[in-house]
Amino acid sequence: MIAFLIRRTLLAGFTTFVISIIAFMVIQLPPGDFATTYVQLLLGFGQGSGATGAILGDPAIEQQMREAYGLDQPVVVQYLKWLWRILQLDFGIGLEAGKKITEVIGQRLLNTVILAVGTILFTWVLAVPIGIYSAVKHNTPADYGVTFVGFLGLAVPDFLLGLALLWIGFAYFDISIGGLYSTAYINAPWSFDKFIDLLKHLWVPAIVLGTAGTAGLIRILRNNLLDELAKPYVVAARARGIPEWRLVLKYPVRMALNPFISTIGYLLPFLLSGSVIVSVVLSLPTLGPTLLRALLGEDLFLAATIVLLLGLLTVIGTLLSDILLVIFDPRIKLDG
Amino acid sequence: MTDTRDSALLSINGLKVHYPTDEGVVKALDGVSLDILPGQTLGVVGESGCGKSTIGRAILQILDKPGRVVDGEMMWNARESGGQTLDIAIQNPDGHEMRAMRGGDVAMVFQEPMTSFSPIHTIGNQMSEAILLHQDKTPAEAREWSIELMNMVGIPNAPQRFHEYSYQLSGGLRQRAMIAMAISCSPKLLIADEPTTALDVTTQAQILDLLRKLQEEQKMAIMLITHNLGVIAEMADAVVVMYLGKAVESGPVDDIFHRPKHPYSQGLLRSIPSVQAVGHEKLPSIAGSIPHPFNRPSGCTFGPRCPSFMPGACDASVPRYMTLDGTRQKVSCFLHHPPEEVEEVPSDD
Repeated sequence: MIAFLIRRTLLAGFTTFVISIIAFMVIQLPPGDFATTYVQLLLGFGQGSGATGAILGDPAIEQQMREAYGLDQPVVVQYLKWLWRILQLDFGIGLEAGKKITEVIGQRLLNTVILAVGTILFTWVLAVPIGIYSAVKHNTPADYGVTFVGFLGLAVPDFLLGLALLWIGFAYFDISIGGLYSTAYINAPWSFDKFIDLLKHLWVPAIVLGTAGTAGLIRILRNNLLDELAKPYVVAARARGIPEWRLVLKYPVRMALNPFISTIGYLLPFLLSGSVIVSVVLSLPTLGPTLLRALLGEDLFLAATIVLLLGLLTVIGTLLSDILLVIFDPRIKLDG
Repeated sequence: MTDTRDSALLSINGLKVHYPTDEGVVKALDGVSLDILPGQTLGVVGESGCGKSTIGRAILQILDKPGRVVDGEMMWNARESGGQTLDIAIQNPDGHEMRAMRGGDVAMVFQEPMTSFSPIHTIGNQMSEAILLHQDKTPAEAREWSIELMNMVGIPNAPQRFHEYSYQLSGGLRQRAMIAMAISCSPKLLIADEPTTALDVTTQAQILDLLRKLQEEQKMAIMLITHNLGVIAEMADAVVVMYLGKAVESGPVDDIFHRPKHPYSQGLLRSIPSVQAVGHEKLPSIAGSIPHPFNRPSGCTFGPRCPSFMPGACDASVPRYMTLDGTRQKVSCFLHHPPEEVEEVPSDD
């Protein structure tokens, strides 16, 4: 087990290294370099403010910046410098905000993780019992009802659902349900009240983001479980006199959950990047809109950082699901 | 009629199990009658699809959906243990009585020892589960009893095997573990559904020996469901021959093997390859094939394949399943009780 953990962690480290190269290539792709873009951008709207405007015109500053980031050196050296700074948690400066990227991303990353975890919880809490019920009572009116609602959930685009909820909230209840915090708490330090306030706001995006996932999960669980319910070990357990509900939960449900565990790895990055449109619609302070703006504005250090983070999360998620699978399914050989 | 019904542990009469499907009703059991005597082994033989496995599942009320018992009775005689006689056929499958009976008074051994264990739970976990459910034991006692049972059925290294998974055991050991689990609550009836079909020949013999040994020690009745006549000859006290959801002949094992009355039983016995056979003669087989479930022949369902088919009789009405005078065999065939006689008074000669 320990050898397995070490091997997988080393492998994950290597994968992350490859991802960092790809992220760095993102920075290198557009014509010109970071300094050019930065200066041009600041020149664009920096005219008014005297102090900045004065510095910006100066080619010396541009040159200084090039040296600081090693932009006049070979690509490999640039990459190594960039990597070295990242290992020290210095991701560089975001163009638009003119702030350090750690500052730009920090709070948003936390929000994103909170939203992702909330959505996953919402999805599982709803999908697992419904999926089980739907499979055990398959081909009954209740099953058909769940299936119908499930297909609706799959078919409606989530941003549309978000818009509809926004409109309903505004038109009928006269409340704005966008965002993750009330105005009073946005910049407040963490407290119990802020947490409660967060919960009050969290359910709307969790529903919007989770509906399609829930519907899909119900379908998958139902079909997995239907396969398992017909297996001889279920009949054998029944023949031992085990009460039906206990039997279903202990044997086939455990088996049917295995495919879920293996998809945890994809769930995290999907929720982070898949929520871009919804986050824009519901004005959620998450990473999604930041990534979108960074890409549109060629804010490449920021974009690369987010790409790197998404990659890292995928690697961590996959590692987690691999470890969980080994714990949950004894058939998986550790020395495979 | 003999008085076996009163002394029987389980007496099944006219049991019908139907599977309603979109295409029509599949009559898996179409009026089966049989008696299982305490401490004896009843062999149930027949071709694939004759309903022999369905009987086992009907007794435990664990029929696959949408199958259900539509008619007949299954009288479980609990007088010996001071209880009332219970008609299993009218019990609620999810009710308390049926659950107590499953794995308690009646246990089952399945054909596929590989797939009949959950692959992600240990053997010990699944054994203890049944023990804890039916007996007043603590988990530690259940574990101890499981290991003792595993020793009893000849599983070496039982304390270690207790913590292993089914895929870590060989086929023979798995079936032994299955049997250990089945006898864990001292059942009065053990239903063995093709217990040796998935095993190789040497292991088959060992498992049959084990079953016989346990039967002597535990004084339990065994219902041995198989298509292997050799297994029946070796194990059974009495035999029921089934065809298309009906019992066509039954009786003591020697009588059935040496003096089969029904043309189907005769055909089955003729189709066993003999060690003494000389030359390369073609093995006799029963002509034709099993009719489609939705298109059963009228009259005697074996009629179209029967070498002694009598037009006007066999396709006109269904022969009665009755004891043949002067024997202990029951048979349903017009060769042995012509239709006229059955319609009137049962004959005395």
